[in-house]
Amino acid sequence: MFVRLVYESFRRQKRRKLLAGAAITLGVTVATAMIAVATDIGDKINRELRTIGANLVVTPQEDSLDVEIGGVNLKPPTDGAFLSEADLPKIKGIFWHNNITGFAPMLPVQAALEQDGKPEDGRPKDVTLLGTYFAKQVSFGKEEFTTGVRSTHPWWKVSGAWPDDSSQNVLIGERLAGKLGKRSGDEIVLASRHLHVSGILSTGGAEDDEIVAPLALAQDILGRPGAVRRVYVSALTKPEDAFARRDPKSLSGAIYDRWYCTPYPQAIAFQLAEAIPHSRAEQIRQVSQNEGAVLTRIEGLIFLITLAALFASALAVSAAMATTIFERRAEVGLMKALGAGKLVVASIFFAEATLLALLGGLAGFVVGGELARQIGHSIFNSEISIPPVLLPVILAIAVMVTFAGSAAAIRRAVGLDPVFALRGEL
Amino acid sequence: MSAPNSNPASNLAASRAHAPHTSMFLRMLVRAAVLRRGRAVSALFAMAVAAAVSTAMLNLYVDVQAKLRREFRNYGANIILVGRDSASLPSDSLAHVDSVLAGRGVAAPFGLLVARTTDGQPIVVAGTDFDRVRQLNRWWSVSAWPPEISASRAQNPREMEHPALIGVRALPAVSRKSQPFDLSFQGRTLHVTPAGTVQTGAAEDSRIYISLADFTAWTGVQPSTIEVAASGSPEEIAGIMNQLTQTITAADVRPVRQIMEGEARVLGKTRSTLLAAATLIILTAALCVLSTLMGWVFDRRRDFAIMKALGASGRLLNGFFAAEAAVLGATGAVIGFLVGIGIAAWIGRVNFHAAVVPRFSVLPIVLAGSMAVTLLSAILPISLLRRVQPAVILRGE
Amino acid sequence: MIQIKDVTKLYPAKESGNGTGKDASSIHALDHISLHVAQGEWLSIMGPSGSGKSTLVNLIGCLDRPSSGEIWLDGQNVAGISSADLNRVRAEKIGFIFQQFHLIPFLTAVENVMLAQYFHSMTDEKEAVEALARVGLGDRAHHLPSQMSGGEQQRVCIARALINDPRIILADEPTGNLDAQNEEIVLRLLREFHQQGRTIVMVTHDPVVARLADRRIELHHGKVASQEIFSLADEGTLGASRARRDRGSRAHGSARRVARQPGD
Repeated sequence: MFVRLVYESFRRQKRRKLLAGAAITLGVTVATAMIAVATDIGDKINRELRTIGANLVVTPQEDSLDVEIGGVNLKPPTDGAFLSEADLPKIKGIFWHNNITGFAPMLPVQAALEQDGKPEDGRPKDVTLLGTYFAKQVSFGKEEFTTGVRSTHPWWKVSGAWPDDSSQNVLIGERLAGKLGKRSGDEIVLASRHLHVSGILSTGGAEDDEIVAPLALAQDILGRPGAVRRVYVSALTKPEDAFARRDPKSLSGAIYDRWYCTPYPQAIAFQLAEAIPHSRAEQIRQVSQNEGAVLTRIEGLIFLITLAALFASALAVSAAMATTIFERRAEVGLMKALGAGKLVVASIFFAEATLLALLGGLAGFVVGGELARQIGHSIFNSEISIPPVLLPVILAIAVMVTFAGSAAAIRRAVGLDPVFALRGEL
Repeated sequence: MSAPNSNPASNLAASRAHAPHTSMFLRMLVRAAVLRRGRAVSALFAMAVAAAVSTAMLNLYVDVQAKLRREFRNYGANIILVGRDSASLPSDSLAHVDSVLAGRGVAAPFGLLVARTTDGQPIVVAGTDFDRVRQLNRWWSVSAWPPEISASRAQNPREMEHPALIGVRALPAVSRKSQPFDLSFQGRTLHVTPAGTVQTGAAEDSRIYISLADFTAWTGVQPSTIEVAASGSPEEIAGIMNQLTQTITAADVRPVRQIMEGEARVLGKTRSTLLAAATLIILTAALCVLSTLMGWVFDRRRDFAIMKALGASGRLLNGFFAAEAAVLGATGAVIGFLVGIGIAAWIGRVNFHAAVVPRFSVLPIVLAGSMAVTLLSAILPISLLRRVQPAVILRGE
Repeated sequence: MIQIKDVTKLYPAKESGNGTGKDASSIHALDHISLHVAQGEWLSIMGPSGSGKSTLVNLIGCLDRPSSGEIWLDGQNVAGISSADLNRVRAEKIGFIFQQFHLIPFLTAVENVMLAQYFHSMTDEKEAVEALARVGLGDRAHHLPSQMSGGEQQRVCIARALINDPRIILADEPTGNLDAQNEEIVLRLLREFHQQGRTIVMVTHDPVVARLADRRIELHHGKVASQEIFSLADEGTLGASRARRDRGSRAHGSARRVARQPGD
């Protein structure tokens, strides 16, 4: 009889059930979408923050002091130590290799630029040639990936075409190009090589006065194949905290493992230095320190907003449930007049609420997942996916919220004097 | 009561004309509010919560940009002034920059040159204003900032002579155990006392920073670079750059694109996410109000039918229910607005460690929105009720 | 005063309809019914549940519209007029007495009465209090319905029905929810109104109550099954009553009531 009562109530009172069901569905939709967005926002914003540039730099361990002003290194280019280009793919072999979004090696070289057609100053001019990867195919083990300045330095803008990493084409910084009167498509003579200018580079930084070339060309001009001065690494990191700042050498056993296995900038730098021989890796504090702060703020904001969303949807579900139950107080009065105990009446309502919550929760989960996907697509151009593990959690929340929302109304309905309820007075 | 007569309406109206008048309409509203407290309070609660959540969301949406911009200013300079062709900047440049900024940011001057250590190694020495750098480049990890250069140097003979910040990579090359050391530039020597070390992970690590006063006195070179962290929207920053270009003609004014673009992207995405979240939440809140008010109006369908049976016109009834809803909506909106401002301020304090300024410009939007949602929520069930004959309701079906 | 001509009322068939539904599509609550109630006449309507009694009263009270036919109230056909006009008719010509009293729960007794004044023209609290005093509730005027007994609530309902001096009083089981003592009070009030010359249409289940009227009709399946006119001595022959049926003059009514007074 109990089951039949619940079943008939659903079959016969479709409109009311639909209303409450719709409220639950919408509530769960919003909750699911917001939870999905909140859990993923850190990763998404982290990727956006990578537009500010690499947050880690790897340099040779025994390097001599840089003498660099305004991006121009006054140290003799052959001076100091180098990293080996062959070691670079190992960056993708570290523990947090999935968090490495890209790296770009840099090799600045001084080279003489022939100034054709400049009568007042016919002597060759010394310029900085920066060798790097643009978008180079690198393989580590079986893994193939593309990396270079196009991903690590996204603010670099090229009018013309990016050179191929295996070509002899170069980019000229826009201020240097202005001085030389060169345009993309022109030829320059650099260190007695004829090079094709494929584009004009604009960065807003020191590179505007330099020539940027594929790494192999720079190594060739320098005469040191495989040499790299420094490597910029972009990594997704966790905002550092007091634990992150501890010295790994002072940590023991499990604590060390925990430190090592957390994507702090320090931990990733430590792993990079391990992976590349004779190197030291450091966080670029301007980037890594501040992104921690920004990330914490945005994550905190979205977290608080998710709380607000959960609260609002819980309220909406409660309101809908309270309304539906309130409308049925005459029915309660009747049941009680027929001798039904409070427990029986309450359990009928709770059974209905559970059924509604499960149905609404399932629908809401599906719709909410789709909504989160849409948000991910339209805002971040990437997927926001919901782990299916979340389903039972969401369903449990839906049932709990529906119960909580109904409880007050059910208690009031059950506590009513059947006579009043039947007379419809309150 | 007199016997029925041919024209009861006009006679009754005439006889009642001298009676003292109380507005029945108002009386009904007040009674309904006071005596149906439970229902009214729950509807009001829903309204207030919806309005509060909406207010908080709108406030945050308006404010989050400013808040995050402040966070981004910690990235340091977004504008750089460089003397044309590596020349020094005129000595009044910094004052000009400060007057253009007028409190909308920080600027720090830098003079750079290559000096030699005692063993002849070249090293970059920078002269700057430590106070300004400290505000500008908050990410610098400094073990100890040099003490302020006070005018009272004479009175305090123990004060350090030419205090300096040494980059962590430069430190081993110049000094052991933080002993004072000499630097030479074009034959002139400067006796420098290390006050602390600086670590940034970038070029700063290989430099020595001394105060600008010491720098110019020693080398006679004026600063060649001024780094500016200007705060404001992209338009405001463009305006500042424009002014700087016009005021300081000897300098190249360049934006730090790296910072500006990253900032724009992150802000844009955050705002979009917030907008999506706000829309969802406000929608949910509106639904909450809708279902509460639907229940509230349906709950009163018997009153509706009785009044109808007593001869109330449809317009009067609509007016009555709409007025109730409007009063409810307005009250809820005002309460909600205050609570919402509170929530927004709290979030600002907790998350951004800064007060979120109450945006009273949001109030009319929230008020209008609440009223619209309330009236809509009330009109929907009322129009449904109008279609039902009162007889059916009075029979208790 | 009330002229009903060939009125039919159809209700769409409902799952839980309590009408006498036989059609698949609709239920004939009233089936081509014609009835005339003279001015000052007291008509009681009897019949089993679902026979259309309440529907008839609701149609006369302009709470509902007939599916076909005409209803003339005081020389006006209300079957075809706009709902705004219906509201005026209800406010000015009709007083309702309900079985469930139907007071607005959040208004005090006097305010419930004033509500009817308000819908009619304007409010006059003094007049409303006087009206309550006439039904013996002068001291309960500022109580809420929930603070009053059923009989008191019914008397408020009656005071409200009378406040606008209606020509027609419609009472749907006015004593159905009352104990004997309160029933007595309510019936005495109704008799007073009858003496004042108002037209009363009353639905009742109680044959004793029905006999207080001038005439009694019985409905079955939406049709008038029988009618009975009560003589001075309450036992006039049907034929004699029928002869008087359509006259319904006031003089006649008054005379008879005077005669019956002592017997009550």
